[in-house]
Amino acid sequence: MSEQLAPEIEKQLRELTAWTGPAPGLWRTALRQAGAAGRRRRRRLPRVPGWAWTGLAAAGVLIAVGLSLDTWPRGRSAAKSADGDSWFRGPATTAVPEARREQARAVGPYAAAARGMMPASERYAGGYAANTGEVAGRPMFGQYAGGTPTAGDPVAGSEITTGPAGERYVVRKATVELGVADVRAVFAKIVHLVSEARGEYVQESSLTGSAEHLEGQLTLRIAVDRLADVLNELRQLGKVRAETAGGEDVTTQVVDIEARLRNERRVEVELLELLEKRQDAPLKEILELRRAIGQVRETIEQLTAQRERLSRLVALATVLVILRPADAPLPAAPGLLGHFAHALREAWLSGARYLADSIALLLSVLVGGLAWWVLLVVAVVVIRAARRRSRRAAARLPAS
Amino acid sequence: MAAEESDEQLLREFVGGRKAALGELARRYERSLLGLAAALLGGRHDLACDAVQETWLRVIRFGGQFQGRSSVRTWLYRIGINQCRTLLATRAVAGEESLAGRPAGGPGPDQAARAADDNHAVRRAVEGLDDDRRLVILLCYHAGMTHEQAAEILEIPVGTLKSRLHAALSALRAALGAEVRA
Repeated sequence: MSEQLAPEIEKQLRELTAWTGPAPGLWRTALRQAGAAGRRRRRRLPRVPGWAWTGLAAAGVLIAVGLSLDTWPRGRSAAKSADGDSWFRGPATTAVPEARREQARAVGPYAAAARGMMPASERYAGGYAANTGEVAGRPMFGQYAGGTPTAGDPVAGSEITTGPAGERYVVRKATVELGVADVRAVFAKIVHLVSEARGEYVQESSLTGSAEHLEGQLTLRIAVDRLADVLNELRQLGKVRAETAGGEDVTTQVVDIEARLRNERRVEVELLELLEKRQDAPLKEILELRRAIGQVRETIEQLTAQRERLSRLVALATVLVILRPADAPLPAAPGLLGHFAHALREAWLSGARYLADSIALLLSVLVGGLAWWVLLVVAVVVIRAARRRSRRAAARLPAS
Repeated sequence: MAAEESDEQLLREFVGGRKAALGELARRYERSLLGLAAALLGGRHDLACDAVQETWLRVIRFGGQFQGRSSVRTWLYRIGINQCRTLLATRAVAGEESLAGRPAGGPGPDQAARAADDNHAVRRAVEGLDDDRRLVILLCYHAGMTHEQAAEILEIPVGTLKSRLHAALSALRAALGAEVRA
């Protein structure tokens, strides 16, 4: 005896075999096919002369060129006006990130585990305690607790709260401004302070100005347990002109995320156990369970991503280093002669700019109106030839 | 108002030379045949059109040989299902992607993202069943089809159809469960 299905499953099964569009009238095609087969097995296409094909192809090319000439500028301007400043930035570019986001959500630890990319033990990492190791060379939560900030370090002295297991989670930042004799050499030394083996890196760096006014800036991401050492080494590289440090306590956020993650995982395990036990349950219940598991897994992935982002922020401190020449002389105030020279230079530059603009305008008129110039020349030549012919004709006419 | 002609009368009239009678038969059955064919052919509407067009061709060629042992409706469905089977077999021989029983390897990212979508889940689970079970489920839940009619089309007793349907639904349930546990 067949079982009763939930109405919604029945509906879905019926929809699978439902033809939503209109009937395409295939019986007519079949009738024609049968009739044609009865009269003749194969019907050849009428022979078309070669010149006709050539003419058709030429007409096709002309139409295509005409259409493209007609629509191209309008299409371009439409695209431009829709966007404001750039072409081809329409719905496609907004749709792609959404698709990517969806893909990124899908390729979470579960999808990775399903494809054998990640062991199941990692997928169900037991929460807090399991997160004390290093991931990709970077310490995760709990690593900071093992760090040894010095008492003299202004960063270490900041107020922080503690987590349930005694760990403190602080996103640390520091800025050091140094006066140095040789900016370029110190810049190179600072780059070598970064230990890539520990996951540290130079986030941003720049050298600006001429030789005597050279300035450097580096943003370093340093492992928190090395922050004090690195700051000490930086201080020894030159004269400290300014130094600031700070920390943002994210312990509450971390604790909250971990608690929610543990809870969601518990719910997921319970739902999976329920699914395992109720293998003979009606399809409707199985679908409801699937829906619930899907929602729980989505939440888990969101929480995991938040946790990893926070762990990266906590594990690596951000240090901004500004380098300036130690005894850079102040630029002298310009005298009367200097002022005159400056004004002269400005006037010369301004004149040169006007000249360049005029030449550019002339060139744009010459090049942009090329088609008109050609037409004009042709018209002049034709008119002159016509006048010459009329004069010769008048000379040949017998006198009346 | 004249009573509606039966399918058998229409077929006889068509064989007798009235082409509009075939049009009337098509009005009654073309859409349902297309729906079933599309479901059997993995949602490929182009292939479903091929199958149904071939079905009408066979009706045109062999309509005169119809002996009335079954209803015209049953006969049409049998021809349509056979055309679908032929198409599936042809494509399998040609080495094209299998239309049915698709799940091979792990789910792709987009499939995983849609895992919670019930409609997709049921469709995927049905497509993952073997040909016989899929046919039984699709036929039994095809619009307006009774178990007796489905059994007649498949040329099996009603009891056998019901036991096959039970097995097919169990397989469907297992497929849905397995997908979420994967």
